[in-house]
Amino acid sequence: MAELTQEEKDKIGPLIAPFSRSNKKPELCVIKDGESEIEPFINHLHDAASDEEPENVVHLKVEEVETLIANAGRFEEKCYLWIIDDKSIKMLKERTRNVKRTHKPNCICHTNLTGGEYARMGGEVFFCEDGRVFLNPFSDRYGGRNITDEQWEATKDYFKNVGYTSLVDIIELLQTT
Amino acid sequence: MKMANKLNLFIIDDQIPAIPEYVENLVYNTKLDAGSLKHLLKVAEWKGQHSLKRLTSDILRSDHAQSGDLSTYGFTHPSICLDEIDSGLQPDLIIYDWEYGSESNIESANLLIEILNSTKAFIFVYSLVRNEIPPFLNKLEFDAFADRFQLFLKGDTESSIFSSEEFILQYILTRLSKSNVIKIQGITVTFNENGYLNNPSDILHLESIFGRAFLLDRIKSIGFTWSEQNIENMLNNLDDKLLLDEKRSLLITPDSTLFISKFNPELEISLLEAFKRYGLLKVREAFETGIVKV
Repeated sequence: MAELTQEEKDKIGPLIAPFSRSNKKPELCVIKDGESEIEPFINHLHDAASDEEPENVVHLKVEEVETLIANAGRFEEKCYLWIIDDKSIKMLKERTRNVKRTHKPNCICHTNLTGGEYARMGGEVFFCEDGRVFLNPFSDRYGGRNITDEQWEATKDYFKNVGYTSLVDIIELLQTT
Repeated sequence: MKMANKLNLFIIDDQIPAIPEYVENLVYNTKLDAGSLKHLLKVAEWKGQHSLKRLTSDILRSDHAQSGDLSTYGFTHPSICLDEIDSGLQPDLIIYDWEYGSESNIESANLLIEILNSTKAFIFVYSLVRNEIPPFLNKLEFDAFADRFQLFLKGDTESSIFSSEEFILQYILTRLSKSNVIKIQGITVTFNENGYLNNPSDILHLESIFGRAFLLDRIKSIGFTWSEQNIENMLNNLDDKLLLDEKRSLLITPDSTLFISKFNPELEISLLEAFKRYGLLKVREAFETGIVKV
């Protein structure tokens, strides 16, 4: 088990409501229909405190890493959304059908992982077939466009503590390409 | 510019009103053609079904319906529609009401699966009880058809800049032609082909960047026409800027302090310039996550 310690909580940052780090107009910071339901997905939610990869994980192929970089760290087909709540990391495949989300029914969003509740951080993760785990903080609800470097480093450290030792920071990867 | 295709649209809904002359003549036992639907729009009371009435009316009054490019048929039960499909009439698009009297959700789901299996049509699952339906559509048996149906709440005007009916209407019309008269929150708007938006549903991407209130305001100020010039004027009047890391080809929003500190982008470009250089989808993605590769 790698449940968050108080020290990790302090470093990663407080629990925040969806969009509360966002600078978007208030009318864009609204959870729409189907975006806060957690119940349909609860059985598929991966609690990364107790395991390393989600069940039936869809791996990123080694040759797809180039595509991931070319798209600035986005690759919806192989993407898992993650959040850190008060206890641990939760993950779910982004391409999970969510028919109540009328205008994007083939995908869930970060608030589906929290039921619209608070989280400390959010982003996307990709599990490569060679064992590397690619991580970014892309989430307009809980994520990191305006977090500090320290918060991002603490987030990555927590992922490593959980067991993702072959972590690759997509932001760093983009800096070197 | 009109594409050279024709479409068959089926509207399956037990709330299509029943009038005595049609009941007596067993008209409801088979498909209702456009003439019959128009007659119902004129003489029948569409009790509690104003959204369905307005959608049916807008479809039948569209240029494509008038020209014969869009053929519309009504059915009061999916089984009648399945009989018609068996007889050889293939739909391209279907508006599928979910609930039929005392029939269960499981029966509705089974009928929908049968229609999906019997056709290649795209299906708008259209219902007043939308919130009850997801558990049935999220089942494994619908996985193979995930790209062929979409769920809408009848009469929903709140979820996006398009009401459910406006979205369905413009989707149907866009399948026939990119230039169309569409409706946005009840306002009639002309959509012309342009270099910024591929089709009217791209307005949803603009909505996710600028918000609904802003767009509605602009729709009024640009004279109800989405033309290249009007979109350009709209973007030109905005102060929003984006930052460009030319070396790494990254477009970054000015509020993305983490990415700015990591990449130190040196160039600032206007929103219009970003749209011109990289297109709507890249700009939308930049606003969504704060960073995008261009």
